Amino acid sequence: MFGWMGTILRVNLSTGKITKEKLDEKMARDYIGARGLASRILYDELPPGTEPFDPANLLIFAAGPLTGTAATSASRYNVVTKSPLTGAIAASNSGGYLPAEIKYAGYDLIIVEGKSEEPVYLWVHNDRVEIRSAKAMWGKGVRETDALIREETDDEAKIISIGLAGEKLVRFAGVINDRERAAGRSGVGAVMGSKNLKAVAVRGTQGIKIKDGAAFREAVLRNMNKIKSGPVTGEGLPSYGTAILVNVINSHGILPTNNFQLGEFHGAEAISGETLARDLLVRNRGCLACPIGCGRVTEINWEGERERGEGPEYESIWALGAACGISDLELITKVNYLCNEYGMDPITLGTTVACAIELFAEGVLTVEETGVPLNFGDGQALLEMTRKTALREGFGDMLAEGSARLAEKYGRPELSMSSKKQEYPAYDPRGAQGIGLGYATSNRGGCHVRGYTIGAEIVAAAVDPLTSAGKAKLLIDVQDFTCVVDSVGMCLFTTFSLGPDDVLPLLNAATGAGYTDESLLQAGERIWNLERLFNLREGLSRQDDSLAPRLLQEALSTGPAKGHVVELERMLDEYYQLRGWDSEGRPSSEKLQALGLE
Amino acid sequence: MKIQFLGLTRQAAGLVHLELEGATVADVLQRLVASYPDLRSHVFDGSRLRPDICILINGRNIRYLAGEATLLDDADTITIFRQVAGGTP
Repeated sequence: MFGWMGTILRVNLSTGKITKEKLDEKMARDYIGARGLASRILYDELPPGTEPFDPANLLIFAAGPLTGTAATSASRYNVVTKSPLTGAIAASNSGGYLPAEIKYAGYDLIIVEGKSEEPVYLWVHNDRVEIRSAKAMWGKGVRETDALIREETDDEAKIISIGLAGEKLVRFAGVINDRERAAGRSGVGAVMGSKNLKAVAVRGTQGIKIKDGAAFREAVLRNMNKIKSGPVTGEGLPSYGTAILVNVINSHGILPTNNFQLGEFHGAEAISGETLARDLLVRNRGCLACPIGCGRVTEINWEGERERGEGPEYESIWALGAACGISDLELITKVNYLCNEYGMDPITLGTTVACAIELFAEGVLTVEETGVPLNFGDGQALLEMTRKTALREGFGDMLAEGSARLAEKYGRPELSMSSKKQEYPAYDPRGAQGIGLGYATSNRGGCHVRGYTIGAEIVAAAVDPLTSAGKAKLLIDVQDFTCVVDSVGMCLFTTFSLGPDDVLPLLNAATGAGYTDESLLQAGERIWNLERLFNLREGLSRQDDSLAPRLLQEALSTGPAKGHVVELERMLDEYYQLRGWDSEGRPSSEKLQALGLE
Repeated sequence: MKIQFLGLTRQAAGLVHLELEGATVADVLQRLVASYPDLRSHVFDGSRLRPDICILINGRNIRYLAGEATLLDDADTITIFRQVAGGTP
């Protein structure tokens, strides 16, 4: 095969059996790779109703056909499983250098099933695959684990690992690769921990076959020029990284503050990308073959010591900052470093703490439960709760369940800012209606990268963010194309400069699969519908395509979106209709037939 | 009214914000680039606004108001920045 390596590595941790399977060519074409292909396998192989921590759950590390090639920003992979946070499908995406290494070792996907009796790591060195003891790494943080495993294997090995949060089954533990890059959302790290799998080390020396080298080079160069000349990918992201959005989103009045009680944060400037660049930035950092370099290496002075790490990104700054009313950027950066080290999603951590603070303010929680007072703006409390959550100590054991379970336990489920039990990211949808519909319909729960309509509503200002008209169609287009981008192995940020017309020649030149404009986007639609079918089979329904009551009933009180709530029901009806789904959100038989999903 | 700069326009102006008077957005922009010539290339492409320039009046993009003809009030805040993006992919 071309583009694809043609081999799936399967490891059963219960039996120790290691097998290599031939990748089915038709399935590869239909589901492209990475997110799409892994979702198909999860759908086919996971018995319905399987508990996420059951050894029968699958954990799939999946690269795409362009991952590791010279294609611009094709440095991504997905971690796919059934989520312990949402009970829905989880596909968490990360970049860096590890994803390409999976391909260089000869594989498109690594499927892990079963559960080891003792902590282990997987050592994948081209054809040679071993399950090794990880007793020496268990209980260690991500960086130390990475160093220990490279010492035992190969200094050039690329490592996927969990930190303490994954070991402790924190429901929003992430998987970290290349020491600082996170497949952060939906608890994929907790599933890894449940299998007693501490890490996967990969070293590969194989090339990726390209079908038409000349056409591929031409497409790469054309896309590279577009990326470099695009305002967002050529200047905006390289100059300030994602953190530049703090002031921008705050200026639009949709920076969710104090658990979404407000849309404007008085401390935004103090935690902005401009402040980060001035006070903490050391240099940019990019992933493999990426000219954007949106990553930020930062340095803080913490308790008298200089400490260096990566981030925080916009979403983390928001969740650990404005969402909790905190305006201390150095503390936010420290907590972000801790999240990387513990292997924990900072978005869900911050929003869960914000939910706990509101419960405390309402008198529902007391110091007796929490151990310390919880108040908006109290950075030290956030710091303490971060450690306790990762280790499941004291009240942290409750926070480790996420905000939905926390708020439910204390009788105030409406105070969890989540959909399908996954917390929202950093855009108040009352002032950007499309992203509200996106949060509600996202197949992995509250999320911005399943349908980033913010690109059209705010970044390019191509459509009015305050109106709901036309947002269902916009969102569907974005969702389906995002499925394509995630599945080929490219970074979502390329979509600020590239469209389907740019991905198509690249993919065809690499694979020779002969996609057309129509069949490529249909593959995206197929993937979206397959994820939907997975969730329906797990018992999710229209009532799960909803939003926190605050966003539907309490209008924003200030800013340009003052007086607005999310007009969800109207958008949702239109969305189902345009998707070819019935009023309960079930794909029609005609739609399934058209997509080959019947 | 208050003019607020973000990101690249802040770098070019060398200012976080300033106070300026003007009846319309067009008036204010002309006065602005006259006083801060380094801003011109960030705001204009020839005589037209750059396609990637974002101008907000009290948080509302002028594309949804009256564009450069939007009338201004002394109490308004104008935010000027080049297109940027975020999220954590």
